[in-house]
Amino acid sequence: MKLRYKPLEVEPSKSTSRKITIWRPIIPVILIYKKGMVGYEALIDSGADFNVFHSEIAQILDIDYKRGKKRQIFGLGNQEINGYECDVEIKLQGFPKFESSVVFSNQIPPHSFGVLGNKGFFGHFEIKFDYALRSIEIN
Amino acid sequence: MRLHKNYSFAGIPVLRYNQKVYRLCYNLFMGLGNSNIWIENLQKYRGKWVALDEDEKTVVASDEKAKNAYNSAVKEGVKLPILFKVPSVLAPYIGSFS
Repeated sequence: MKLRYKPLEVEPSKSTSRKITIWRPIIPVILIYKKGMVGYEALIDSGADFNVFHSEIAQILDIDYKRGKKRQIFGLGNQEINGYECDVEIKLQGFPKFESSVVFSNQIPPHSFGVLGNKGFFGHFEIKFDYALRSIEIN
Repeated sequence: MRLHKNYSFAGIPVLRYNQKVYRLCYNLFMGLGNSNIWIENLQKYRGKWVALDEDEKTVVASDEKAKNAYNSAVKEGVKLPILFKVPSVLAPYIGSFS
């Protein structure tokens, strides 16, 4: 299945109101837990060890996410975020749903994205990025 | 003349130095030119949750809380709202959690 990078208008500098278009590999996934189901746009991030989603998504699915395994996650800076790893089902359009694990956190900074990482996403697919064509091929 | 093995359009190999032309054709064919941004007026939703329709572009509802945006979209008749947390700062990003 081929998906497209998504174009977002961003401001490269605070000193100017000029906007540029940045293309990001953001794709929709469907999260399923028991009878609950919700769509969620997440950034595909091959540098992320886990799927890390906003805890508010867990609340919509009625997941008591704080009963999951506690995880500490670090980004490029020094600040850590805490989350809880839970089992959910994930579905991509055109593929059957699969069991996966997601770290839900209420500490994802407001400028960041939910990410699809290695454990729980890349392990299930072969993914080819073609930034020149703004194309993501998932098999 | 070199052919780039990875690039073909409608089964026709494309010359390497014509990649820009190829990308333009591809985008036009896919109906997705460079000027076609994902969500219109994204700036006004900064820091909020938006619930998107199935086309992934139309904002059906927005709120500070994901659940409120979700419930509003369901009330509008969207069977499966797609939620997206719009970053509070729309700026270049390198995948940091700090």
